[in-house]
Amino acid sequence: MGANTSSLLSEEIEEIARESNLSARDIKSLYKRFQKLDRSKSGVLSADDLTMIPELAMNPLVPRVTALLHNTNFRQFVNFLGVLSPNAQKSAKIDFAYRIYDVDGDGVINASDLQTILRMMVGDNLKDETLDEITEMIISNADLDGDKVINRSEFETALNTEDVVNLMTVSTF
Amino acid sequence: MEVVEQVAAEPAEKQEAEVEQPVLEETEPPELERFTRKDTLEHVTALISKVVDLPDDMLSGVIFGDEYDRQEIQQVIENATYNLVTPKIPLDLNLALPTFGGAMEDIVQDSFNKCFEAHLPVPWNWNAYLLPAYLLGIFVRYFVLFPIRLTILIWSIIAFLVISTINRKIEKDEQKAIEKDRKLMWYLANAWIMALGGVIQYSGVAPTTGAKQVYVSNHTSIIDYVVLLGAQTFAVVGQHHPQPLAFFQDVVLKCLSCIWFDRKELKDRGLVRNRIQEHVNRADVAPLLIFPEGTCVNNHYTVMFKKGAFELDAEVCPVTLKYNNIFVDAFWDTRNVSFLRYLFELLTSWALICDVTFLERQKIQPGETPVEFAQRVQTLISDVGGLEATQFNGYFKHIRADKKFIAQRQKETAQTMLRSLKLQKTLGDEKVKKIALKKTSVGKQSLTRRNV
Repeated sequence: MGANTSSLLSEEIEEIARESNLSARDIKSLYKRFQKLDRSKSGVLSADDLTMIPELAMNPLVPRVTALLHNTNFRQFVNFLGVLSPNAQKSAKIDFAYRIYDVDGDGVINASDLQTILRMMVGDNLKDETLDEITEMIISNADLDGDKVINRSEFETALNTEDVVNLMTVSTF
Repeated sequence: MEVVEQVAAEPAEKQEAEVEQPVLEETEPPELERFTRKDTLEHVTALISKVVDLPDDMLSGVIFGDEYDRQEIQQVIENATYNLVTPKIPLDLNLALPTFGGAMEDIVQDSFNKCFEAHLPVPWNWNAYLLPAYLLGIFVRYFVLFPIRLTILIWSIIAFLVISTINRKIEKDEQKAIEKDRKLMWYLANAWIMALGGVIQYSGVAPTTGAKQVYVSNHTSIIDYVVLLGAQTFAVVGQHHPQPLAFFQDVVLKCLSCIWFDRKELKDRGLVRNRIQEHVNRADVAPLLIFPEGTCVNNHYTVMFKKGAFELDAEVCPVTLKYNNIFVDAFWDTRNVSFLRYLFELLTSWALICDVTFLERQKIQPGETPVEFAQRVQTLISDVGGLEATQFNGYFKHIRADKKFIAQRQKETAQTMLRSLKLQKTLGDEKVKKIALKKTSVGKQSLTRRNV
């Protein structure tokens, strides 16, 4: 028996490791993880595969997570998670956090992006007005140039980067 | 997180206090540390100043009751207390990051699936001295032990079926025939244990027959049942498997009146419950054995004990099964390994080592709910086996976790956000920023540390 990494060649592992910030060992364990999560053995992870992790299925942000990870093959999976490595660049981690909020993918965080995230987090428990109020407050606190959206540099200024780096790091793969 | 745990623990403490009250009345009341009014106020002020920067003269107002706006002070204290006792969700761009970070951690490695991870053997044989010994071992295991054991396995089943059939022809009394079958079953189980190379140590309170008792045990594999049958015959409640296991379930185990069901057929549930209670009420059948986890766990953890076995009108007899996986991992990873493959692994290993401990009988305590009772027994079993008790629902191995858990978290988040909003409005942005600076950094909100 032993770790079933037979279908992943060692050159491939090295190549993937070079692309990401992970060691060959991390890649091997992520490969095992990927195979386990890919219940249909289709070679890509679907939203249905991911939500079979009970703790993830209980996470309010699961629609956002699955949207970011939907139909990823192993290489994309590694690239996605590589950012979480302790060795990854600080700026890459902040980019990653920024991408979470940029729901429509237009490069800036606007009010509707934030509202989508907030709605996921609170469900139907807060009124639209309350969400508007919170959204406005968050934007006005971080918006330095007054264009009602938060760009990448405003994002970095508004946050304690140390915290972001900690939150976007997974210690063991 | 600490705060959440404290809140969760509160009802239990209250209950204890209620139970212990009569005892307290007999003893002297404990000497209380007396605080003067000034001490108390100073204490409160110190607490507040930990989270809010108040002007000094305002603090003295709190202490000495100067002419300050009482309402304002009260508001500040209230908000500061909220801030201390609730896990705060910052109303800034940090908002979603802890929850998202938790999700990422769960994707890389989640603690639920840890309970079902098979133990991978560590290679030890790549050594010039050990390799010949290893190869000799391979020869003995696969070409000597395996054929002998397979022969024992097959012939014991044939012998059982033949003797049982003859027995039924001779013995006209139905009840006596069943009793003889049960005796025979015990021999069969021990033949199987021999075939599996079982080194089983039974200890603790000897099991008995009779009504109004149900045996509950942690669950690692289908072999658990064989191991326990070696001590005494039990009827078991379990999932009906496809062939070849269906043959054992329907033909060989017939005399034990086991209760089989299909996990996917949820409408069976009420029916199963009634049949369980009926079985437990009867003294003329083998006592019932239930695996309350409802699924095989890797023998390092236990998952949530379902309450079904704990709301019967019966005493609960806990049993711990602890396997030693030095030669073979007893855990049957049903998702990845077929039964025959698993059986082959067992038959070709040197030995299957297991400690079986029968614990003291347990009754539901007054005021205890079946769920609490189930948890208590889970802890007892886990402690004896050195297993880590978790509160995961084992069925999540097969079905997706319910959306109601998200709804619950959303509700909590909404409440906290409202409080934060109120706080932010009362104090203004500058003060809130100061609070945020004083706050230690926000941790990831993974569900792993929560009691779900």
